[in-house]
Amino acid sequence: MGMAVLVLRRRVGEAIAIGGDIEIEVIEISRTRVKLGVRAPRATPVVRRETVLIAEENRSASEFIGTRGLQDLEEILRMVRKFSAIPPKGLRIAADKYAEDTTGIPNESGEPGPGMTTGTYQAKDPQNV
Amino acid sequence: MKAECGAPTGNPVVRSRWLGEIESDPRAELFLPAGLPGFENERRMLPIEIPSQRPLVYLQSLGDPEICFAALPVFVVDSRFRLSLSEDERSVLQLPEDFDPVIGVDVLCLALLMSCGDEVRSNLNAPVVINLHNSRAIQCVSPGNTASYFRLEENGQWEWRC
Repeated sequence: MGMAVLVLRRRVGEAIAIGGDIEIEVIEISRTRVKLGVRAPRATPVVRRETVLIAEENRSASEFIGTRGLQDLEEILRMVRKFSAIPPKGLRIAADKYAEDTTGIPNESGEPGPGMTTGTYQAKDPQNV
Repeated sequence: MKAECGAPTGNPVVRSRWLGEIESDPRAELFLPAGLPGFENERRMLPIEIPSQRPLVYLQSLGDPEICFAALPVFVVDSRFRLSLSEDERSVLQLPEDFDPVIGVDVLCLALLMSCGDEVRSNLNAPVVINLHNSRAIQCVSPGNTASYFRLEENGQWEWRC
């Protein structure tokens, strides 16, 4: 981001301070990982860097249905089914088992997938709830 | 859209802006102790499946009718997907340290769908993982290259993009 990087060496139990109210302490060091403890005001978000991008993506994902519309979703599904690993209903082969099971979709015996229960869809005036 | 309507059972009804009213089996409710990145307060969600739209799974917030995600099982996007869980993620899901969960048996992995212009994308670096044994869930964000994604091509195949 064009900013200078300050490099510090710390041992377990030692900490660094950022500003007046944020502290980062080294709690544990293993061969490949460092466990850090962060003390910061509740109002200060502390997240792993990679989740910042994912948060943006999630906001986009939350708009997916509204942006595409349910009709468009049907078209997308039609495309997805062309190459998806979903077997025709009633057919289950080992390689495709997950797609059948993971959605809780009734299998050939009419039972939902293992441990998964879903809501029952009832079309009642969508968009107006 | 074909809808499956069941007889009223007295179960709670969940409201969704997009799907209308959904009768919810309380056992179906998911608990996300950390919410999702960007939606940290959405800790209770309901997975919804419409038979005519399989393999699509909706994740409807129980706190906000406006918030609903569309997702696909990860293997629909990439049959080679392998799940990698950090210690923290295992802890949230309450999975034992040395336990290797099997997708479809122990955990459900969903890839959220998103739009970018006309494109449909999905990021398998951040699947929503659900422990099927206790309904606890977390979005597992891999620390690697989170900028890569899969794009749905016109021919129906998913292409990896970086």
